[in-house]
Amino acid sequence: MKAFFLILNKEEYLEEILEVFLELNIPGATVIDSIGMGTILAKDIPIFAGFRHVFQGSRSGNKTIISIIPDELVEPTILAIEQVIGPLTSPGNGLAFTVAVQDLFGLREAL
Amino acid sequence: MKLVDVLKPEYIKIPLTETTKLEVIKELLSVLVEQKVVNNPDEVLTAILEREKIMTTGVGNGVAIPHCKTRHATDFAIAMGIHPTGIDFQSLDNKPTQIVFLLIGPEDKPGTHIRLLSRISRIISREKVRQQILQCSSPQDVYNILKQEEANFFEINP
Repeated sequence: MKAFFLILNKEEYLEEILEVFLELNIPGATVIDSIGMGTILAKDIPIFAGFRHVFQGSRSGNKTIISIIPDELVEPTILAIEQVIGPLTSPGNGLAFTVAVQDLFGLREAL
Repeated sequence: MKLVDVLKPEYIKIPLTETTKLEVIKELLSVLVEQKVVNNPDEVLTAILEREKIMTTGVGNGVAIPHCKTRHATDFAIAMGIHPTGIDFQSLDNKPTQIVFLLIGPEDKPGTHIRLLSRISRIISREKVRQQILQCSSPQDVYNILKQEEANFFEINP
């Protein structure tokens, strides 16, 4: 099992990403409103106001999606996500990573 | 790199004698010109004022950090001064500004520029440090305080 994290910068793709999860038989995920560091530095800390161009691509917010998925679903999930939002290697699309899960309690079964 | 590698005691002016934001910026700029760290003061001043148009660098708590990136700088330069009574720097908290850091950097090193700004901001955000600095009567004393405070900070990657 892996804890799968996706920082989705293009929030307009959230619904489609969740649909992808359903299609992959991922029964649940937690979605958190989040803000990137660059956005806060550029907009909320006045001393860095002159560097807004450096933080270009920083959006007002993004979504952090967390789900517990089987190991064998990691690669298909990444591929499916990239089909929706484009390559994760492209700046501004987002970031995904996994963390090994040692113990897990309370996960619902697949639909 | 550390802040105290760029800001030398001879770049610290106590007291600042001018009474307006513009004149204090010029006063600190002239320190760097006298020390032959800045060669094009007019162009650099223009860049500093352009940056001020975006948002004031009077960050509050009696501190201002005017700064600019300019093609007229080949390396980073920092001057610092203490005003005995404080001036109007259009600070965010509308309080008089007594401690002013002037940071000038080349256009092609925004990352280092941001790291130096952040370092200044972090050190000077400490009330105890500000009070200690305001008690100083010599540039060397200010430098020693900054050096001591920065001793626990990591090196900035230039």
